[in-house]
Amino acid sequence: MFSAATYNESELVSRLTGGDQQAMAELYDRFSGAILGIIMKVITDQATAEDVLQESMLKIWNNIKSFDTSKGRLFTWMINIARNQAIDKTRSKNFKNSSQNSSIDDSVYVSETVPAVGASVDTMDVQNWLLHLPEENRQLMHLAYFMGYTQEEISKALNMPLGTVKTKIRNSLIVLRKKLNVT
Amino acid sequence: MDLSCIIQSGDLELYVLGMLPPEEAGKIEALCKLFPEIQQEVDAIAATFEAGAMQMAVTPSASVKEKLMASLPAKAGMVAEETHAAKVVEMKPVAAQRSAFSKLAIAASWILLLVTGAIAFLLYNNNEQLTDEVAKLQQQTASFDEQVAQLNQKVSSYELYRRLKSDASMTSVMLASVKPDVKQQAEILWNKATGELYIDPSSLPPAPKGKQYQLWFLIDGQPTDAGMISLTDVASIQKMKQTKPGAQMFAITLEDEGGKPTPDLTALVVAGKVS
Repeated sequence: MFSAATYNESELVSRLTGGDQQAMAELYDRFSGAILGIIMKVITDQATAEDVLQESMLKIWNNIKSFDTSKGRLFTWMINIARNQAIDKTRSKNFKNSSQNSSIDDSVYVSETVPAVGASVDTMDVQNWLLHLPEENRQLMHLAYFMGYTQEEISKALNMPLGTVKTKIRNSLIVLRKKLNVT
Repeated sequence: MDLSCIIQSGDLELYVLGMLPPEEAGKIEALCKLFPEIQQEVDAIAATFEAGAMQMAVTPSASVKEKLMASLPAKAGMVAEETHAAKVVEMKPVAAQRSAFSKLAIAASWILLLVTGAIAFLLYNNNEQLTDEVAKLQQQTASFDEQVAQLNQKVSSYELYRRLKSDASMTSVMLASVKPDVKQQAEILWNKATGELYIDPSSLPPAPKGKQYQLWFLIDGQPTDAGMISLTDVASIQKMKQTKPGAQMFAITLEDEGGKPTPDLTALVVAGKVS
């Protein structure tokens, strides 16, 4: 968690808007790990994920003016940029050529191989917040949040009614939130 | 207002994670402004997921920060840097994506432009030609109309002449030139009983400019005006003034336009006696 004493978001944002590279270095030190963690949920290869991290940070630097402090929090804005950057990367020609995880069915298969909650409690995967969810909902969240599929696409691929997909994703998010709050 | 249904819908979570379509995200933003409770909830959700993301943190290699900081545009203020950055970002794809397809597309657009230009030119030329032809045809039509009108006039003139000639009550008087070496003549068709009078001046030469032929009938050597012969209708049979009974002779003089009350004998062109 962030300590309020050393981190003032609006001050950091105004320094970034002013072109202060030192502010960028501070932003990087504080958040690069968390952002890379998000990216690596989409792209497992660390070298590629680090490329995406660098691209994302550059995008954040270039687009900081479009960030509206009144609309949301800086970190949420940044992880959404990073996640979209990562999803774009997986959809690029080069990435598809070198990866077998390009189709939705493959993604489902991969996410099905993630260990179930009970089995993983003692493993390193305990950090994976998706593991707080029942397996089916975990697949849906993985597809929706980390693979960037729309709820309509998921509905078609999994042959599940759109309403069910929506409900499950929403419920998952609510469950996740509760679990994370407890943590 | 009961906001719990919005809070429990899961939409706020989707919004925080950037998973809502833009129009729905806009609605949530509007709700946040209206209701502090919803804004609080959104903040709470964001904080939770941020915490979750922090738990998943993976420390990047040290080289990433170096590369990033080196790739940041120079520290000369954001405006200048942005334009500089924009230049780099925009130039790259254009240069890099000059693929076979884009070359083909450029070539295709040039060909399309040339073909379009050529077609436009041809159409323009065709249009010019057509305009010319239409003008010619209009001219032809006008001249045909004129010819038809002339023919109609001639036909009705011949009709009248045939009718008058076949009419037993009409007397024909030939007027011949008074000078023996000149072959000028005109024919009078005259009803002795009624005085009805026609002239066929078609064998007379056109009157000189400013002059007009005038017809006379003579009783006991005394000439009386029988009317002017139309300038424009020299070719056709014309009805003239009614004569008094007992006309013995007819004569045509060439007078100034509009004629005279009494003839000038020196101007006599043709004359003929009633047989």
